[in-house]
Amino acid sequence: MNNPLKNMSFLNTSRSSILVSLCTITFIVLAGWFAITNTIINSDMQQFLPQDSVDKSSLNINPFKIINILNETNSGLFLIAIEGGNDTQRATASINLRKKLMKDKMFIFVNNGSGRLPKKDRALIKKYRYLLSSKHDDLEQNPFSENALEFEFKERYQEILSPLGGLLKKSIAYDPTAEMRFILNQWQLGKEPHKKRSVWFSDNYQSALLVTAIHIKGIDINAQQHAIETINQIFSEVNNGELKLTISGAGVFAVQAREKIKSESQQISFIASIAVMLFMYIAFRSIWYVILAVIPLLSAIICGTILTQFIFGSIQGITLAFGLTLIGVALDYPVHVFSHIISSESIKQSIKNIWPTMRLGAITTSLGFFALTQTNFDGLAQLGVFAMSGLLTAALITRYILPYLITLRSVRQNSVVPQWIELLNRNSIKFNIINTILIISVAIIFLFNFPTHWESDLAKLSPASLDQISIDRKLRKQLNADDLVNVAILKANDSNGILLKSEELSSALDEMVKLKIITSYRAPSHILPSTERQRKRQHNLPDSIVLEQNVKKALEKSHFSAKSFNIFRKEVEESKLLAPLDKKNLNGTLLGRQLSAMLFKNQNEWFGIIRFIGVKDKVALSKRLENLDDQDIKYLNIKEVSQSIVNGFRDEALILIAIGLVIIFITLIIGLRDNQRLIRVCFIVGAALTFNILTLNILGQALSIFHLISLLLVLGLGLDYSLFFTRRGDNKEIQARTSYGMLVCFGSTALVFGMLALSNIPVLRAIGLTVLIGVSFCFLFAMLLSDMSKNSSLQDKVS
Amino acid sequence: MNRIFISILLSVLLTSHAQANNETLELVLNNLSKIKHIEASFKDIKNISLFDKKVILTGNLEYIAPDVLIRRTLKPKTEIFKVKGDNLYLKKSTGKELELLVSSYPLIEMFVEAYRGILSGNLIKLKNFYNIDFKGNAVQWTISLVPVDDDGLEYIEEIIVTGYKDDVVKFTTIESGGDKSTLNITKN
Repeated sequence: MNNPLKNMSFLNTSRSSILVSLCTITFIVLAGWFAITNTIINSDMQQFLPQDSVDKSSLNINPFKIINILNETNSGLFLIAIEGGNDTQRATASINLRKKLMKDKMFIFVNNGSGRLPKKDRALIKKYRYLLSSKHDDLEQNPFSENALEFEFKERYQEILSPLGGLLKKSIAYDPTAEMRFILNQWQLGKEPHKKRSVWFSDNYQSALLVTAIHIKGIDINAQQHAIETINQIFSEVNNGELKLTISGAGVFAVQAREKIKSESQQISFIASIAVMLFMYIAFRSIWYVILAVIPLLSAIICGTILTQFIFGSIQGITLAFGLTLIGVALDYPVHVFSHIISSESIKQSIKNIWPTMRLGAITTSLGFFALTQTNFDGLAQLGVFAMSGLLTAALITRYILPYLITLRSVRQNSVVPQWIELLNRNSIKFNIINTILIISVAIIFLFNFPTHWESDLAKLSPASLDQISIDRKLRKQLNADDLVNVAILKANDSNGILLKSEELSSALDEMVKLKIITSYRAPSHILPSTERQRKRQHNLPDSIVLEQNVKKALEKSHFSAKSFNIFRKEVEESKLLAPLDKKNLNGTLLGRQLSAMLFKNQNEWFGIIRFIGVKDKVALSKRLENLDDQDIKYLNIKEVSQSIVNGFRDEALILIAIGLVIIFITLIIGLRDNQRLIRVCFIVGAALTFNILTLNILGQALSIFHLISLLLVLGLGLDYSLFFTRRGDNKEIQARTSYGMLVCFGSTALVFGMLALSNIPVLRAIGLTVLIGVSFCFLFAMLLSDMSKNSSLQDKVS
Repeated sequence: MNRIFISILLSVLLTSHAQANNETLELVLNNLSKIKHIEASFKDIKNISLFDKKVILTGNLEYIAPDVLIRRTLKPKTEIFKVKGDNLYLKKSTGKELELLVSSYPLIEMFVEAYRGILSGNLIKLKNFYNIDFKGNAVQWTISLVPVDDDGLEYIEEIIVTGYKDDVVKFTTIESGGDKSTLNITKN
């Protein structure tokens, strides 16, 4: 006890120790440098969404793909409000902001209600008006008969004479049948926000409103952040100092969430690192030990990063963040070593003695994470690889490198274990049938009363504040921004196929509008009619002689002068020769951009999206669409589909974890070859996990994927604790050392995750709370129920 | 140099002239703003190039301070045109009705505010939409309104308001295409 240097012949071991240390340090520096310089950390959250291989629907349309595309549309949208100053200042700022944003190619569109359609769009509508207007679709023939023209001319005459006539007159000369007005009305669906000074304002006119969008591929928080910064920058140029800018939208939430999580996890990990180091110092009273304890952890991080990078080509930022928490258990390995060093044997022997237990713990824990590598979610698979490789590295470093490093300096060996640790051991409860039944029945009663509630709405885990959410909701309402919840997806081989389908569908949809099942809808064919329809309209246009006669006769009965509509006749003639407008012609126009959000190509298939506005009867809507019996039309409620994706993902994870548990069990059978110990280990871990979930239920936590991942960590810790506690045997000194080592392990883990549990961010809190509760139960059950006094063997039965 | 000198001189002269004009304009508008209710008959003569002859509309006008304007056309066809605040209502002889928010349509707003701005004597409002020129004196005056922005100028070249003391007698609208409409107002 009092001869710490007995087995530490410093001079003998120094040469190999120094060599190994130098190699280790060189390796860590080189590998660390390699990891830092070669790692591609990406922020594409798409990796945490499922790949498209899991389409369970019998339909041809894969909802995951569509949701991803809709998410892209949604995450690129920004809602902007300008407050402060007076009406005129707000309106002017709105107009200037729009003008400047439109110059930036990043923004697909900027809308504040002001300005007519862009010149290019207007010119296009004017040119193609007789092909785009559905005004005469009911007619099977010439829409410009003498009677029809006579009627139109009368209407126009009245309009010109009305007080607002001056504003209409210009277009009447070339468009006496008011096709352009008809087309524009056709497009103007839904209610516009209030207007003042020709720009959009909120209901109370306190804020000027704008909507803008950027193009986003996947989920790209960097692009969103860049857009937000640009908007702020440009606004500061147009602001007179009195105005305030508010930006909302999915992108803002994402950027803020990332910033919040980043800053808070940095803060917590900084404080936690210091706290843990301090704790370790108090526990072992040696700075040298504290430094040594970091080495396996550091190697684990480096190896995990390099391997993940090697397998996946990049590492998702969140994987790295969560992975770091998950392999925090690597810190426990050197702690086991430190607490098991005794004076009567060499350090290498001490490590050799505990190695079988440590190895079994590391292997079984890794198997738990192995389940993750099998998911369809790249992000989770990465997490699995990272944690697995990290843990095994840490265990190996502890086993083979640490012994050399420890001997570099003389260490106090025994004084670290305080006397009071005996108390812990004395309180052990015999593992017997009574307390087993007691624990099981308590678990059952509580599980019955507090059933597990699953969280399928991942939005609830968003760290956005209620204020932000209410601002977003308000802006959305004011701007009539469609929440993209109810859609129908169309599929075809080419873009015109979608337009045809959209046209076919419109009679059924118009009927639903009449029946008030929906308020309105937006279909791609509203913007661009199919080639066939355009050709039909062209075909119905009269030839020049007929039109000339009809116009002449109609004019005679009107107040218009004889030469009034020469331009009209000329342009009808020109319209007949036009090639039908197609998607490509719309490139670079606002209409083109709008159409792209509703009509797009994915791989070799074309998709169309019909968006329903004001859905009153979801069931009737989906039933009517189903009754069409078209495999290429599918109704989707985005919210429900997203939830089912999350649920499917969770079910998949649960199954994989169950498989992992079975593998762990088999490994334990092989590794322990001791039924008594096997039962205890399984019981301790099982009870700890059950009570962990129970406590979360009682606390009212809805379980999400983040809780599940945390439970995997708890599983690993539980295995470690129970394996070490059950190996104690009868030797009082060894019992004390194990108990002390476990106490230090438990303390450091509880310290780190306790801090996470205090976080305001739901994801971090979920992880912190789960692990804190879990590790406490693991420690409690392992300590109380591992009494192996009957079994007096000290050495592990595993070789 | 000469040219610059002349232009400076001219601008000085014009400014002083303009200042005097400004005072009279404010006086006239101030007088107009005191009238809270007007009932009148109108005769609107329209010279429109699309038509083979000029068209005359008659009916009556009503103004209630500060923002209600009703124009009932009786001949050749009945038509009701009513603006109240931001709401515009139009009913044609066919019974067809139209309702819209004035502020949603910048051109309509500009057009409506010419009439309402003059009748209510609201110079600030007029200046939002028009460059204003005043001629004459408080007894016999004309106010010229030229749209401020290009969109407006695409349609309206100038609106000339002629008045006698605190009565508005005539609105002459010259459109950019050369068409002209003269609204003569006779108080009841």
